[in-house]
Amino acid sequence: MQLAGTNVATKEEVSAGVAIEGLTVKFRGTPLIDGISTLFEPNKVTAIVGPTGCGKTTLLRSINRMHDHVTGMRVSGSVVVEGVDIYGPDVNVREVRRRVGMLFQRPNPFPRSIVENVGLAPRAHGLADRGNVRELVRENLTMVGLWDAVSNRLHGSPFGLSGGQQQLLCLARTLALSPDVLLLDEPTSALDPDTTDHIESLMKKLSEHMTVLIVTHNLAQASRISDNVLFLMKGNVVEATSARTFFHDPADDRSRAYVSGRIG
Amino acid sequence: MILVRRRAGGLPAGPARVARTHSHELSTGDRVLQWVSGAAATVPLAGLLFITIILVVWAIPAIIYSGGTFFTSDKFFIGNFYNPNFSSVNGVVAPFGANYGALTFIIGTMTSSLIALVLAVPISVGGVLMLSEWIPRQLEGPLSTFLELLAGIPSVVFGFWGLTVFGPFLGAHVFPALSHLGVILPFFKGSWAYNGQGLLTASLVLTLMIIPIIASTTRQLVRRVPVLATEGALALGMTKYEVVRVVTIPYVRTGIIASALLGWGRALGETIAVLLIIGMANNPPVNVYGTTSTLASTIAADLDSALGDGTGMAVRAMALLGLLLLTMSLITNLAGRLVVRRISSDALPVGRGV
Repeated sequence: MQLAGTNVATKEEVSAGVAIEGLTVKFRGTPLIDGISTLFEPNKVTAIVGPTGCGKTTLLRSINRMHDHVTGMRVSGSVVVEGVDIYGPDVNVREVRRRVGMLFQRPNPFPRSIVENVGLAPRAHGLADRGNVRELVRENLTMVGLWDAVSNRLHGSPFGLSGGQQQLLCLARTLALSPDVLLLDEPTSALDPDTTDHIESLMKKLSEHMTVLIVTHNLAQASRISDNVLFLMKGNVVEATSARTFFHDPADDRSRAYVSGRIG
Repeated sequence: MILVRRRAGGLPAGPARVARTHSHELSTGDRVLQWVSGAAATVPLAGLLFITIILVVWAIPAIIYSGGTFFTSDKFFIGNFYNPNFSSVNGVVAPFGANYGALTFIIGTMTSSLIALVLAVPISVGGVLMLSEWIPRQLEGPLSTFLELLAGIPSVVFGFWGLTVFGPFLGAHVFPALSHLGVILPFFKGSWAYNGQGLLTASLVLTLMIIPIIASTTRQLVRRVPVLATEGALALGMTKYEVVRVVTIPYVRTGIIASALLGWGRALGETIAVLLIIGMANNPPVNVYGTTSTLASTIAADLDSALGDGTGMAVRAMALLGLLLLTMSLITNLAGRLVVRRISSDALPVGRGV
């Protein structure tokens, strides 16, 4: 564990999940997340769903401290990742983000070569050196199924790739840091059905090694891939349960209305 | 064309209708506007063509007279107007002893502008990145305004300040120290004028003059870097420095080259400030502090006496200097524009390795 500066680094095989306690996120005084407490089970895919503006993305971004750079954002409460409160004192934000990877709504490769896109961050974190970075790049591009498509143009621009390939490149870039938690913010909303299928099956596979949280507007997607569902409305948790319960026998009336398409 | 045809059917006031009414349904106001805007659009192009043609026509005798020595000789002498004899080359007659070698001015122009460019680019880019990444937002506004106010200072004021304050200060306090560096960097060896007049002082003032040009462009470029791209780097735990290196600089690099070329164009053509500061010696600089002249400053300083030449050749030699300066400015400007056009296409520059 390396999150707090004082801890000794040990690499665990299984993830310990994410525990959120009394989390409030305010933007210029207006609460976007209103005192949420919940637990994201380790090695499971949890879908965060809810109507537009309910705070899904805000919640997701507070798990790797992406709000730090937005003026006017105030975060209080605790987010415990692998046993360490990432908002606690003496936390190394750089290491938090190494452990909590994020994939965005649209592909955002760096304006650098394909090999640099995957290799730069591991080099910066000291996870690879000049000698073995190529191997790491190949490994991660293979894992996302992109290696065959790009192996002959590793030094070319990523902007020549299709949108789906760019998103896979961004996924490989994130995975190259071997994160414990993977945050996905509507990762397939801009992609074609084939790449969407591909990324969905990857998520299942990845959840064997890490905790996967996905924000999605697509309930069909949520039912296909998630083990658990967190249903948010107006910055509050309405229901946090297994996907099976949520889609077939939700406890809350609002969940039932949302699943049946009457709200949202 | 397809767009126009498709719209013509349904929409009441699509481009097709405008196109059809073009010839016969214009009101008087439309016609007037058409003529005025048409004339306004032609003036810049016509002006450039006109000036270029005039310069070429005027310069032709000087080109015939000096030939290749224009570029190879550093001796520029408009001749002895009072000598009853004349110099004649290739049938072109000029005052006795006239020699139109522009090498001094070419060297002066290139060195002064290039030193300014080499200093201004890192200062501008570093300053802008500093402003956008590390300085608190409340300070960014006033500091940026200050930077852009620099652009509003008239060049004669820069020249005056350079001659009376900055030059003597450099000559008394900075150049002595720099010349000691000459032990390690032979570039800085040599002696200087007590009032600081010379190449390096002129270059430093030019640096101040082109910083706003490069900085304001860079600032706009940095603001246009997509937030999604920088967040992608932050989400990987990269530091601000790494984000700048990995994302921001590749995004703005081409734009910086373009703005540097525009700044260079400004430095090449700067006249009065350089005239006051560079010392106007009729020889290439003997060292980095040495006095010399530039193309622009020579035209400004010598045109008056050139008009006293009965053969008219001195003025034609000035036209040739002007033509060369115009060509240099046009090349840097066009190169800048070409690079800018390359940024607008989505092909981004790519680095070499991890």
